[in-house]
Amino acid sequence: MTKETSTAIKADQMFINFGPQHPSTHGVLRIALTVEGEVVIKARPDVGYLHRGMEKLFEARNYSQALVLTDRLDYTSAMHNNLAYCLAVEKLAGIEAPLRAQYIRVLVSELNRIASHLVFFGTFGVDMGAFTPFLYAFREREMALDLFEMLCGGRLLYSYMRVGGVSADLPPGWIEKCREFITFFKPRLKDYDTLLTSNPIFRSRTEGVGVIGAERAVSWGLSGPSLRGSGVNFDVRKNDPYCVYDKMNFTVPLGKTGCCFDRYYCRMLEMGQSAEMVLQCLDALSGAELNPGEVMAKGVPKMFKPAAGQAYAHVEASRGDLGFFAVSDGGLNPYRMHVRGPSFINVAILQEILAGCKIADVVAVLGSLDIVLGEVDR
Amino acid sequence: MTTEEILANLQTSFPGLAKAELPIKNYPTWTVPAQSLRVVCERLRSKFSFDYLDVVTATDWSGPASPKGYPRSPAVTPGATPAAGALARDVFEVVYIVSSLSAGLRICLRCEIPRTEGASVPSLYGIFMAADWQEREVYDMFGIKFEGHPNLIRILTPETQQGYPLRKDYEHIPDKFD
Repeated sequence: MTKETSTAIKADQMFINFGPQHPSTHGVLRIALTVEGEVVIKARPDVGYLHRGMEKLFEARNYSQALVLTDRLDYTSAMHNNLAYCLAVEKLAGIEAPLRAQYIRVLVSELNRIASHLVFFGTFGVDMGAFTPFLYAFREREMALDLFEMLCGGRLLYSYMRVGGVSADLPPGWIEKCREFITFFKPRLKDYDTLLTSNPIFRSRTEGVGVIGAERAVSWGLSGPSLRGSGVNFDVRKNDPYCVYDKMNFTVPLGKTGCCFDRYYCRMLEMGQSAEMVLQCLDALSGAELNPGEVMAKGVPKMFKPAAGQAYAHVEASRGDLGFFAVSDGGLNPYRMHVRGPSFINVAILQEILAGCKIADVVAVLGSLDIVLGEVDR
Repeated sequence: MTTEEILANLQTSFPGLAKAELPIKNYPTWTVPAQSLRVVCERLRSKFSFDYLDVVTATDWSGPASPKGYPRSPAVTPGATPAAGALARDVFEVVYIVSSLSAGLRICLRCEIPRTEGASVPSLYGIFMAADWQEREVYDMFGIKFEGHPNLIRILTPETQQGYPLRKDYEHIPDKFD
């Protein structure tokens, strides 16, 4: 944590603590701001208020027990965390999930991406002073959460995936319910555009604000829609495909200038692409080619000892490139587990882009990066 | 250009650079001596367009972990913590993953340093801005110093924190929150 105080400032400047109890920080982030009039001179983000020592906790649990910890990283897209963890451990132990499980994994990941981007859409609207979109976003999100509840009983923290597959096949009637949701959801994207995207106040508050150039975005290691908003075409699903993403037909939306609006609109377009991928997965899963019921790799015990080695697996989570670096010493517990949290790396750029912004734009820039503090602090 | 060719090219100027015996699965893994780490990364960035730093992390190979490092976990009994086994040695291994977004290549770099109080590696700050917070995190968790980092202070734990939590010999000192 930064020991940033108000001592070293000049007479015409002012020191402001933005957070950690500020509603638009989406958790417990503190930004130490030095302002001159309305202009931010210096910004130092301060994280760690939610630190739980995850990486230490991993070492004290065996591979199956450690799975539930991953849910608590980015709690709005727990499926991606489960998936990245499972992929890393599977790589380490040389396990391959059956094809049906891989389709289900992609399906729930994309559904979770929709749910997670809806949280962004709703809260970003609230940050910009528009409350109504939030109500619409959470109505649709609730439907997606109901689908997850039907699938595994959890609404937020799923632990649905297992090392070697997923915990259960889709329940009867789930595919139809999911199709109903997508049919309902796809036209809603147009509603969102009329509600928020084309709102002149929203446009003037986000366009040209918090611009991140492509070269800076790459250097700071941004990932996900925050990177693609700057026009950099990097998506783990395309560049380093995992599961069955190489069989999916989708495009990666890109922004042009890297302003808050571009990052926002990338996410909006991604939801449409995710809905398409959900349909493609449903089509594949409703056929009989993928043996129904075969969702776990055979012979994976509850406790196992992967051979000594190191593995890294990463997925495109809602917020960016989420990676797990796993080290095994041949024992029951991971010897070392490192989480590359995209939010943690995305939030670091604030110190550069906030300098020179108006103080009212701090909320817009922070909101457009879409961070989850559970993942920043780990 | 494949990673093999890049390695061969770099090895002419940096003979210490080698392929790792135990690679990170499915990724080309090289071992780099600490003194040439920064130059190798600079060369990778400027000549081979490796412009993206994915991961900076470290492993403490001294195992086994002290059970006293986990104050509130009843599941931890001596012997239940990972032991490092045959791999145990007195080193910190700093791991970097760098990638080239344009060429779609990804390389893991591993750098072993002796496990001492003042263990240090050169900082990659300035080559990759992403190193800023990730190196601070490694410093916070392992106490490895990154020479040349302009703001190397704790990031996730409070400044009152004693010791470095991810070191295997870390012992938790009860405080007012216990």
